Amino acid sequence: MGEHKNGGTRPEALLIIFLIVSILTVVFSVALRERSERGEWNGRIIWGVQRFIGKLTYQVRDLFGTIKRLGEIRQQYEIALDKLSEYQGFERSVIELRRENEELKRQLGYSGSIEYSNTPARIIARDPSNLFSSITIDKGTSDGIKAGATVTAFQDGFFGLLGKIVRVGKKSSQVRPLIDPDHYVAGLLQKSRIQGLVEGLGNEDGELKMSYVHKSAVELINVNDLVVTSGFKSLYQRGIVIGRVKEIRSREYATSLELTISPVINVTRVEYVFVSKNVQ
Amino acid sequence: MTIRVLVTSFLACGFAIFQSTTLSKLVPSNVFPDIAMMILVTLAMRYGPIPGEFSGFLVGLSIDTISLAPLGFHAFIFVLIGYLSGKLRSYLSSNLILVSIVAITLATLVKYVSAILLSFFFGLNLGLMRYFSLLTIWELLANIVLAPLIFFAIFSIYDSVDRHKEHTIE
Repeated sequence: MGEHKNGGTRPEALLIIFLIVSILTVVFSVALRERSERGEWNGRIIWGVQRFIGKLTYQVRDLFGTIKRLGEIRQQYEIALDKLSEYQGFERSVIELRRENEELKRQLGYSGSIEYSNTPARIIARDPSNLFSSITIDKGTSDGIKAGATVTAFQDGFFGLLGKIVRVGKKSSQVRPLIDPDHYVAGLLQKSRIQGLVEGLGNEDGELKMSYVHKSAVELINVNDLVVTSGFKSLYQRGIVIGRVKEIRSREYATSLELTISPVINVTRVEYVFVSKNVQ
Repeated sequence: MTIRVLVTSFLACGFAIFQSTTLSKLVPSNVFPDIAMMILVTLAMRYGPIPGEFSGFLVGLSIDTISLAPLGFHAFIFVLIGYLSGKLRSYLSSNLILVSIVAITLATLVKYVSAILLSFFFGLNLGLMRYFSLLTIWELLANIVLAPLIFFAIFSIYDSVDRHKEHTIE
């Protein structure tokens, strides 16, 4: 049936076979993913090549960047020296504040038993097809990284949430960023303590949506309010900054508000991340 | 022929990795041309739909392993592109620049339309996929600009390999 008169294979028959195989693979893959995030992954060869090229790209770029930066570093050094003398004056008051802080924590019964250690990692690759938003980092199981771990980053003075680990290889891992529409985080408005569910929109601006915020809270929420992780029934630690309220939408027919959030971490500009080793 | 299909597929896979590692750092908008897809289209247009389908499946699967996509997602899209590009083979005798631009435009559209359909059927959320938004148009434009260059480069390699083979047979 699938053969030409001259004995060759029909392209249409082959197309159907390949499409069926692809669809079955998608079905199994989606089913497996629904049971758990893909966890440990053994695509060693292709991930190994990706890691090698990713690091090589950084090395080449760093080499050219270093030459360019020498002049800038000299200027920064001069400024830093000036600032250092200024900060020496602050040191004494910081020590005093720290002692006071420790004392207050003791009085409040603060539990310091849960400690999170962060592993620094570098982003080595992004999604190759412009269709998905994955990020690949250069740390894996050999560095103690586990699937589901929280990924944070430092940018513009904020230590904010970037995403979570979804697949782990031996020496590299894949991150699902916060802006991905499949990513949900239990969020909390820092000032008013109102809770909601934050999810990615996958749009060009990398905006997020906070839903299930009760309508009665509209008076308590302001544009620019900070949104942090609530830690409520979530794998994320409490208090990690997610973003700022950009827009508050209240629809007449809806029972809850919808907030547009601008994330504090711009995924496209991040180079280094921190992976939490403690998975709750 | 089999070796040519395998070598071209490996080349396309290599460019897929290059896109994810190097190109993603060079392009500020985070949307870059799909060179792997362009190489696949070139192969299919040169040697027909069957090599296009084989290569599309291999390249698609390798992209699936380094992407957040479920396994088989890109394989489906690239098999379809390989087949359809192979069907355009008869137009190759026309102006190469024009043919390359038309073929790549169609391939990019097939990629996005089939991605939307697959995500709809399987309930997938496509991360940075913007349904024919400005950045999708950027990718299309980048593909169109690069298409004649890729076609010319890959066809030159195929020509020299084919000529060398003819000499060896003679």
